[in-house]
Amino acid sequence: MTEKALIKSLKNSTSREVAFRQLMALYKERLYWHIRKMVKIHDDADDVLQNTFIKVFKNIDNFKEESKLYTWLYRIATNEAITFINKRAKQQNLNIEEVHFNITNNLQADIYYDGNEIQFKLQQAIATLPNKQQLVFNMKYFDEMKYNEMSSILETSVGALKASYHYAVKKIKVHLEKSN
Amino acid sequence: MKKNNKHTISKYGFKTPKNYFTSFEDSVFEKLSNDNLLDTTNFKIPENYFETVEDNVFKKLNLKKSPKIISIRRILIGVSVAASLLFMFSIIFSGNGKINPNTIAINEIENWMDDNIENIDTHAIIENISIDAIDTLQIYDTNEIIDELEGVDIEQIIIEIETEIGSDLL
Repeated sequence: MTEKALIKSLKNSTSREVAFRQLMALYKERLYWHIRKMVKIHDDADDVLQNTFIKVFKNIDNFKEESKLYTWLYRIATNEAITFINKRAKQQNLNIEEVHFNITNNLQADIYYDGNEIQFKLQQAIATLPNKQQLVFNMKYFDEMKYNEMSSILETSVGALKASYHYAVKKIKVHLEKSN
Repeated sequence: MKKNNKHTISKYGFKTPKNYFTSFEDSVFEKLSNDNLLDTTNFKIPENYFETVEDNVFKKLNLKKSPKIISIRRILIGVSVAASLLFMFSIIFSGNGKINPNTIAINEIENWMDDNIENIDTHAIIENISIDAIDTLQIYDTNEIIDELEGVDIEQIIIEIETEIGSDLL
């Protein structure tokens, strides 16, 4: 099924449920890993992913098709994950950096994490970055996403994204050197 | 080679529960169903139906003769007066006529209230009140009530009421 046909089915109330299942089957894993890299813990990623799809289901009629469907989905998933982290910060009366720091430090207690020492150190280094730089680093380094795609998802210019990635890599390098 | 390395780290130590992705759709549909977002019946309703329900009901209500509005304050006064009179008469006629409020035990009052308050039929009281003589509903603004209450010494009011009741009964 083409993307256009899928969107048409999603916007039709009689075919919506079947189409929605197809949509989830197509994008759940990609979106899950995108979210998981941001919130780190599986249960939180699961919550955010479910909320993302529920938002998609509720708002599919408002999707104007000015961007690709997956770009729209990524944008919703990113916003949901950021909202989740902000809420967590508010609940715990912490700033965003402290939340990232706490989550990462507790990562090894998560039964769904079995990263080795290097992987854990990398996570700690990523946690020291500002939100936007973390996002850019994850999308570029792990997902190998093109700057053009990232630009439409994050609504940021390619130049600004390149600069963010450059700074992120630099900071991670310094952090890893210090920790060694 | 570089690509392979990245791929190995791509999940960088993160795992998911077994069969997580196989059952994911069902979890989302369960949530959608719990939030009543799924059309679980085949019944359809006209577009914007729920947005127009109130207006349609009000339109129908306006066709009927507008009901007379009864002042809640007056009803409460009526009910209070009736209850007070019943209370006083039952005490006076059940004893020797001389009542000292200080001698009435609290549990006697509670027993009387349990036995008699339920028997006061508020509907009957409302029906017997002349509708024409009743004011239209007077709505008190919350701020007005708060202004009224501010500076009021509740304890002083209670003492005054007790004294008043005491002198009436004696």
